[in-house]
Amino acid sequence: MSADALVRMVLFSEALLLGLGIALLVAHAVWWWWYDRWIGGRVEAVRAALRGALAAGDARPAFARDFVRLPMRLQIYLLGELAPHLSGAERHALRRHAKHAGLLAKAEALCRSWFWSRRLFGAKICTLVGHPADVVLTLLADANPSVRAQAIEWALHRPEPAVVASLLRMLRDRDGRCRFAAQDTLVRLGHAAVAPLIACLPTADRATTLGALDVALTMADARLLPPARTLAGSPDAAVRARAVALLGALGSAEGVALVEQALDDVDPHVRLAALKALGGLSHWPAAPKVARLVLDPVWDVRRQAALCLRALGAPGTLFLRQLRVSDDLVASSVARYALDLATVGARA
Amino acid sequence: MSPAFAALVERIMGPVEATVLGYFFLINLSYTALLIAAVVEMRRMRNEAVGINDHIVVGSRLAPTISILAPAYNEEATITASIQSLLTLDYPNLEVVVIADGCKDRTVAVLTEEFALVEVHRAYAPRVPTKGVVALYRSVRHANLVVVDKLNGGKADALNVGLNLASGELVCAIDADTLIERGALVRLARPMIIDDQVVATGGTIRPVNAVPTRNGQVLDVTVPRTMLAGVQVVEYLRAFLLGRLGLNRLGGNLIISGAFGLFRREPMIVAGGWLHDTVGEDMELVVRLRRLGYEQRGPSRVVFVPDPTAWTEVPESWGVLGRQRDRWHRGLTDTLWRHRRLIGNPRFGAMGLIVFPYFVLVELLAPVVEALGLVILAATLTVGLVDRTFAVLFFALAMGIGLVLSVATLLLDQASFMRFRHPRDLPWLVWWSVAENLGYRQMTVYWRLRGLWKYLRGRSDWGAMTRKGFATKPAAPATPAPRVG
Repeated sequence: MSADALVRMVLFSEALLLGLGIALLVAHAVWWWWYDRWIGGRVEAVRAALRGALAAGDARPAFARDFVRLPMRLQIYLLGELAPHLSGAERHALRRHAKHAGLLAKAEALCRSWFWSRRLFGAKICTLVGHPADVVLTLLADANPSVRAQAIEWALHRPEPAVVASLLRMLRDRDGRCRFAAQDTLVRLGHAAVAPLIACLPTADRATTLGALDVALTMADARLLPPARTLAGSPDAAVRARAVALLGALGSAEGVALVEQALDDVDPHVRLAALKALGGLSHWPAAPKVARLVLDPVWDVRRQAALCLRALGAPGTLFLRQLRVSDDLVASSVARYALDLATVGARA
Repeated sequence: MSPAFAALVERIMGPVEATVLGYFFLINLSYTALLIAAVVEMRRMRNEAVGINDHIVVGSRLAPTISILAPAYNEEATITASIQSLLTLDYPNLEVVVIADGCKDRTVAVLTEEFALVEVHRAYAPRVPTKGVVALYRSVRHANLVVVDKLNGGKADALNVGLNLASGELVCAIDADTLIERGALVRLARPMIIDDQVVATGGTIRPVNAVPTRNGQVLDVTVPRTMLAGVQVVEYLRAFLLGRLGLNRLGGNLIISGAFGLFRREPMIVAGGWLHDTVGEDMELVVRLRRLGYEQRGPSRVVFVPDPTAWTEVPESWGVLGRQRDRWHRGLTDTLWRHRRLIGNPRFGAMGLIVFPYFVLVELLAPVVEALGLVILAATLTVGLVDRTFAVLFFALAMGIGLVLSVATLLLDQASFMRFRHPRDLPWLVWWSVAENLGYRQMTVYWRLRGLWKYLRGRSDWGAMTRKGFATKPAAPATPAPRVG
């Protein structure tokens, strides 16, 4: 084949591809225009019917037939925009309507699908309507991390010790989104997660302990004091730092004494955590000890000590004023910074 | 012309022509590979986006803190809208650090008036060395807004000051004239939450010229009707959705746009922050982070996420655009030269074996070979070695490949995000894809060659960039509800 013929052939192929591309672009735009108008009206009607049904408490709402005929992602979209704002009787009503519409049975069937995207949709529907189906439990061990993460989110509707224990095991999941979802769900579970958390902390491996302590810190439940006390003496500095932060969040006399002790820890992260904790508690009797840390060898600790003094109120401010005229330039600088922040009312 | 001279030209041109043709084949093969990889990657990322619910991250107290670093140099026209847009982003733990880099206009004064700034004593650990800080301000109105006024030291120096002052686990580097979509930060942080090995992520940049905005948010996406802005819409789409998305799958990216990128703070500080003595500081940083990640077995993945979008004003004058492209090419050359030992080095995995050679052969050398091709075409036409019809056909073929790639990228964008909703925008998009080849592309070849030449002569200036400001609409009583579908 000559070069000329080859170029002509390639040009012809290009023209075909270009024509096809432009035709697809136009076809997509036309389809979108039509679909948007067609579906927009239906979605609006179903949305209004769903709201009406929830408001009237209708047992067999008229919307059911239209609702199930919507594409799956739009059903999820509609539930997703409504469900987070519902609780109590309205949430029950939503579940009842979903059941009458056949959506719950369909969601359970989807959860058993071979395809992960369908299992994900199934778990999503169960999460949105708060359907505590057993089949979703099996998805906590699904091979696909997206499905596992969705099942973790769903676990909020099954606050049983076994489920919570599974969530705690997932704090060391190999996928970050599952670890994040597990922590978030445990925090949202609140009270129901505390006892399993206490049981897990003494025997857990490092990754689980760190994840669980982050959860515990956000919960700040008084029952967590004994494990926090124990872990404050851990040889692992990261564990110690989190345990000290937890003790600060719990704030008992015994806990505060341990936090004060942590100001002398060899690890700067632990000292930093102790300063943040004392600042959060506004524990003014610790002011002299905190003021000493403004001269700490680690810069971050010095800055945090100044901010902590600011949080301790008048006694801290006295120390800051003394430090402001200190010969130590860094101490003087961080003290001025903390005092200025106090006047602006800004956080650190 | 004598037959002897024609024979001499033929003898010289023969091997050069073969090289250029071989290069032409290689470059288009790599673009096709990128397109296929981009389609596969888009599908994977769309699935991944379904798997993590953004509302969980937004509503979670456990979300990592993000510090946005916004360096500003003489940005008084756009700074208020930009910072307002940053302060209203959908993210729970957010800090905004604005760094005025020795501004000669009223940038700091405008910020002080608009955000009720009060000067506070400057106390921070200069973990990355920078030029001096003149003043540090906190806002009485917004507790999470920090403004720094510093001596002029360039964008890299300003970002390093921000890095020293930031308190977040993650830092997001942006240009102060960039508008970020409300939900963009959550989507940009998603790969970091999923994978500890991800050290940086970047989003898509789109030109905001001719797009109406209100309160720092884009209202309605339209295609600009002016040539330079319109052509750049297509060019940016191709660079991001085809180039960067494709590279995600073929060994990872080497570039995170300086206008919108998210980084883990600690590895950044260990790496020494942004380099001062380069005009390609964004690319250089990404290469250095990845290189250190490989060498120290730390996080080394860099992910481009197509969904989160930042809007930026692109140049609409040939002079400014030329200076920008010339600078970009100098930055690229400098980075590739600094890290030249990565080329073909199996120790650095796919980055050394695929991505780095791609950047050298395709991104760096493309203008040289393209210019050479044009010279050869002209020379062979002059001596009559090539038939005129064949030359025209070949030129059309080269243009056609670019056009097919542009239309494929537009299709990928529309099918995935449907950004351009007005039917009248489609003909404009296709037209700009065509028009790009008629003068614009040849000019970019010239600018990039100029950049290469300047680099070889040791020039490292940035060139001035003028801004018009955003097409802001007055505030309306209510925002219309988004359409479903």
